[in-house]
Amino acid sequence: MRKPRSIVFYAWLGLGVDLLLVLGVVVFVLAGAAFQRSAITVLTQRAQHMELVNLTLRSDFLDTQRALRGYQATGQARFLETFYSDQASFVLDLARLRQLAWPGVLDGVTAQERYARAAFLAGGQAVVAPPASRAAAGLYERASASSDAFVRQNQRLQQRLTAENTVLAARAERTLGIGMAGTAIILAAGLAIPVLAFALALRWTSVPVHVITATVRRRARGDRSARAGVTGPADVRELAHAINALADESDRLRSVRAASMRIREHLEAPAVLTEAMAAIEEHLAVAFVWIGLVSGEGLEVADNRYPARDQVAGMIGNLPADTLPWLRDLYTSHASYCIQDLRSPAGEEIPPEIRSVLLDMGAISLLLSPFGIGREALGMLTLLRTDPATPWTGQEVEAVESLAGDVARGLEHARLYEGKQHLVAELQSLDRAKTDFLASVTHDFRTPLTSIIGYAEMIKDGEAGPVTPKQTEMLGAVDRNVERLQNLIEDMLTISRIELGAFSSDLRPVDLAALVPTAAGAVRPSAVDSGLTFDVIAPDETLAVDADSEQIDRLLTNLLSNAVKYTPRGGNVTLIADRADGYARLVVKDTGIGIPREEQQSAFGRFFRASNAVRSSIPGTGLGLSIVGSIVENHHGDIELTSQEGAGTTVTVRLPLRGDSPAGHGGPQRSRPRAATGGAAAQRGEGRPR
Amino acid sequence: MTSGLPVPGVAGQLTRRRLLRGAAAGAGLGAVALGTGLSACSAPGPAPVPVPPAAADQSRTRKVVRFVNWYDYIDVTPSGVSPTLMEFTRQTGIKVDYTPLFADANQALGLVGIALAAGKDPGYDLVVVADWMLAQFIEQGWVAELSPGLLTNARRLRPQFRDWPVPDLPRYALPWQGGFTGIGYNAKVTRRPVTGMTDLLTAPDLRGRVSLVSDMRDVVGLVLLDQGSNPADFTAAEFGRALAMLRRSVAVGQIRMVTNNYLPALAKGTVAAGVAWSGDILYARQLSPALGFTWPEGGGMVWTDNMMVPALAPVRANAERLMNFYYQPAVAAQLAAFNRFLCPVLGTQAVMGRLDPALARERYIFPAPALLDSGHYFKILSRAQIAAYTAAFQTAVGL
Repeated sequence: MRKPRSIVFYAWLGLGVDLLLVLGVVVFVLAGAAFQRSAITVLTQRAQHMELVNLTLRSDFLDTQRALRGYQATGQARFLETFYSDQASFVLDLARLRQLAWPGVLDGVTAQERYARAAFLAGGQAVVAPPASRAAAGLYERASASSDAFVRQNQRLQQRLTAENTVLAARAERTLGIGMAGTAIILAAGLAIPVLAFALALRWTSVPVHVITATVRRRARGDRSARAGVTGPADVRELAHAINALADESDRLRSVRAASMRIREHLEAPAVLTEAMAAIEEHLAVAFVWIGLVSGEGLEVADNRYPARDQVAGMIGNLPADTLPWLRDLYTSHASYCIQDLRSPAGEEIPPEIRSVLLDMGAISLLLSPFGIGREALGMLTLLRTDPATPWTGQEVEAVESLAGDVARGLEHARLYEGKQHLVAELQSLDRAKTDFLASVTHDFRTPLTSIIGYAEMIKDGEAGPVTPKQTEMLGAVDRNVERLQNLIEDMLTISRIELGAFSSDLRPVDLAALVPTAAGAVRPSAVDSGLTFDVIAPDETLAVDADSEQIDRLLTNLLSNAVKYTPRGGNVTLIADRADGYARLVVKDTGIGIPREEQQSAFGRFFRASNAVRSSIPGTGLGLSIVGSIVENHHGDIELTSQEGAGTTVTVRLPLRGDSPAGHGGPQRSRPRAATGGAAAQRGEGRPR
Repeated sequence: MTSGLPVPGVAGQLTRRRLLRGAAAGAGLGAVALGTGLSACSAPGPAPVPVPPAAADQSRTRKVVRFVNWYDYIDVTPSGVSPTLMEFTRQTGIKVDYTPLFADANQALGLVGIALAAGKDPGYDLVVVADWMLAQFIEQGWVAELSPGLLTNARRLRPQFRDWPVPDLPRYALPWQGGFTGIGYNAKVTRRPVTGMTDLLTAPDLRGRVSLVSDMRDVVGLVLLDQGSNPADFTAAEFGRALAMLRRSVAVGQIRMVTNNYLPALAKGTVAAGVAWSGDILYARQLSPALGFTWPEGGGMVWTDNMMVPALAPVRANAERLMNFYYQPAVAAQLAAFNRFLCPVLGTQAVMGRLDPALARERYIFPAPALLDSGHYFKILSRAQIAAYTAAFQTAVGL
């Protein structure tokens, strides 16, 4: 295959060809013009001129002959002078005629010379012969005969010249036509060929350039696999090679950076080191690599998976005493230590015993990059190459330094993660102990409380004697506080079960609408006692859901109790049950003290108490809403709270209807309790403490 | 061997060369600008017509040289042979085919140059041409350069002619003979010498008895010199002033005739004085001792006829040997004794002293350098100038 040339070469080649063509056109035009001019010259300056000179020649000659006759007749010297002087004119015109003549007519010229010379000779001899002598008469006669012969010869030449002129005129016209046609053809070719060549060259060069441009754009958009096609002229090919090499190098270094990212993903030190060494092995073409870690006042090899393990270990063990301070200085200066050729004088900076080990390993170039956190040097990466043809590049050094930094951060992360893991384990242990304690204590509270309830009922039944009204009133107070204590214990047990993961719901088909009157009836007396209006809006239709009836009842009881408890006298509590968007909806709305906006996000947490409730000394455990949230979660529903401090709170619970798959709603996804932060109600910040 | 040589002593033939020579000198109407070496003064002419390269010299195989000259311009015996040519043939074994052909300078073109113009053998190997015609031949490239190795006697050329009228003249030619243009007079008629052109053209005692040659250059050149102008470098105004003098002379009847055949009238006394050539007067004085020649007070004109080898001549070496032969003082003396024109060969005067002491003292055959230095040539004219000046001259003198 022919070696491709550069664009410049082809540009020069094209220019050269173009110049040659232009030159050819010029030469052709000039040659054509010269040829035409030659033809025209022959026609006008030679043939026609020759006709004229030939006529002049005849005139000169006849002048001499007339002068000769004149002298013969009169003997006057002035005729003789003309006879002689016109000979000179004749000869010079004859020379001119010969100069104009071409081979085809030259004979006609020289033939005239023969007759003219004879006439001049005879005439010249006649004028010096004795006047009126026979000799003179004979000479004059001879001159006359030669003169006649000359005239005939001159006329023949004249006729021939006239004929030649006709031929030359036709030839000149034909030549002119051929020249014009040829010029037009070559000129057209001279214009068309460069244009065609330019178009081909443009296509030949522009297509590869466009491919390269597209490749660069693809890479700019993130297509790392994009590579330029190597086609076209040599320099375009070179450009494609260079871009591909740059892409390869970029990818290689990007791989190193990706490896760096992976290093930081690891939370254990051995994994960090293994990842780092694997990245170096894979992307940096090293023969040997190891990671030295600072340990006390020395260095130890963190990992070494190479055949030269023993040499490296021995070398590390024999490092000079000042190695660690040197390493710390190197780290502080944010520099790497690089020797491109250990055999060169630069390699003599290394202690001889270390250098000899490295050379024995076949190492040629060395790159050492320290790493650490803050001011603390943690170790160093040591990379060796055995190929003298691949010295360390600046980009490689930067990549190794970046990698070293990531190793340091990875090790630090691993160290911090390890400490956190310990702390979490301790906290989890404490939490489990607390829960166990709470469950145990709560359980233990039940036994004496059962005994208290039993004895109080026996007293109230009169088994311990007659009960006075005062005692009856006091026993009523005992019942109420026992009930509160039972509810508290029940809530704490429920919380314990929730935290232990033992709080489950026994879901069965239930008509939610049927549960509403029961719960409302249980709360209505206390609402009435508190001076509140209590409205219940329940549908006539069935709201069939899968639910645990007891837990739903508890859910409604907790929500309605909270509404009654945190609504001042004269307020209103409303319970609404209805169907909306494939859900059964329970809405408890009050006009109570609400929940401060900034506290609403924590409303479903354990032991949550709104700050305004605490300030108002309204008693509560802070467990009610947390239990409600867990119940809703167990029922694959969701709960929403909107509240505005001083204006009231609305809690909306939605449970999926049986056999109804609400569009865009997945039960589990909506099971987490939440406080609404959007919408008009949410903006009002309604809520209430628990 | 020589052939065709006219017998000297016949009056008609005696003066033929001299009577007709000047006609050519002023009749170059058809000529273009003259002289390679004078090109700085010449107007541009047509490009020279190159002749084909000369074939190899055939002198070794062809023992002949074809020599063409003016009529009556070589020594001849009453039997019609040339002693010098015979001597040359005797010494070298080279036959000389001698042709006395020219009666006019332009004939060198009409009879020799015509063949060269046609690219052919000119028919002659050695040609004697007037100085200005030599320049024209050189201009056309029709002259073969000489071989110094064969022309060992060329060193005897009078130094005044080495660069005049052609620079480096020996490169192309050697003078055959030279001459002066001055004033001839018949002392029997004038009873006094005629001293200059003003005297000639205005003296009352010469009225009606003056002749002029028909050559514009000779006559106008002498008038220009008489008026203090330089014939080699004059203005149109100076030329006009010279013509005005001639017109006045014609108008008052001073001029009797304008002809180159002035010797018979001068010898007879019909013409008392006129413009004349030195050789003519010296030769005619053998028959008419009263004839005299005056070198004008303002100076006179000097000319030469030159031997040249035409291009395409087949036996150039033979021609050069003949040229070299005539540059021997003894041979040159023989020629000068016959022609009585200016001898261009140094050392000839001493030989002449032994042959004819009277001729050896003749200042116009063997001039002193000062006399030669006072000679002038006419400036080179363009073709248009020649036509215009000649026409104006002929109108002025009534030709």
